[in-house]
Amino acid sequence: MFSIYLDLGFDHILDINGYDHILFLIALCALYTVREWRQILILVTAFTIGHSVTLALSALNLININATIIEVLIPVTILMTAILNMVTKPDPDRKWRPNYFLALFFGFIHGMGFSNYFKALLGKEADILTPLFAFNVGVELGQLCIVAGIILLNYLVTRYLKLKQRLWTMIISSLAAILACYMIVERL
Amino acid sequence: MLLLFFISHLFTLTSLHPIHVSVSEVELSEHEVTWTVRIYKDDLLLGMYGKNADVSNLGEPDEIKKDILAYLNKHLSFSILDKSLSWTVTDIQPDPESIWVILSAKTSSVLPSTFVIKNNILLDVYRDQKNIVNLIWKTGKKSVVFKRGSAEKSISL
Repeated sequence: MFSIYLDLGFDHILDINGYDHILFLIALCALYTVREWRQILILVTAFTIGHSVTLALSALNLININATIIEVLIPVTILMTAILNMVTKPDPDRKWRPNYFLALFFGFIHGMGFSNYFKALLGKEADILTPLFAFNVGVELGQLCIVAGIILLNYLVTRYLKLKQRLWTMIISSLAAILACYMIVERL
Repeated sequence: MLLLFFISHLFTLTSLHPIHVSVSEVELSEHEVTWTVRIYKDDLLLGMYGKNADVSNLGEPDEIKKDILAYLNKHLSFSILDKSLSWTVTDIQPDPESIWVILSAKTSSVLPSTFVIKNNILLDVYRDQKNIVNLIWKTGKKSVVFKRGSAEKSISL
């Protein structure tokens, strides 16, 4: 059972047909170079804590928020992250950044999105802890693949195409913002 | 150009995360198999009647029940030594989004520990459809996923 739900979590976050979570991670990491891996680690950890908490709470029916609202809020998190990227001045020496807290908060929203899918995978079984844990591990592994892909792409583009990091951030964030607006309109 | 192509392709995809899943619980006892399957109502109607069906005029409940049984008989099978069990609908329980159908079948002899299950519900409709089957027997539990390309599996308990 563990491997089945792990696969389902992994496939879910990497599913290109529902690319909202992928787009959020792309926007989240767009600000950073490969040298800033510590900041990326903090950011991704904050997002992971956020979505793990609400995935568990929602799956255990301790919180219940309308799925339609969550589906609209997810692209809003992408749009806000993209805008924040565009207005934030690069400052590698700054230790604490507001986007760490936003990543945690936005993680809460994405976790509820994950839980809508996770609940659809459940039958009438009494024990949901094993599937829940396995699904979350699968999501984390998928998330690591996406982040690794973004960092690699960033490295290739800045190193070989000689694109400035700031320009890369602006391009990726603008595209993410456009797609997020499209999703918000489609889901309203 | 490649990036632009990729971005334009994203707009053609559905950005709302779609859920194309059915979940089954198959309880195995010595002489009976009880198969409970949950399918989203809109998906089941699409699978049964196709895209152009008039879902506001589906006919009498008994007719719909017959259609559901016909659909499930075609798409769910439990075979022992190449012989498929014949399902009877025990109950149908709708909830706001989905429908739970409980099927049962008697076995002529004691259920063996190896059998073949086919579950191709909606696999012809959605490319990403997944059908999860949780098998439950007296001493254990096992989960199997059926999807395009692997709609039939030999199971050993």
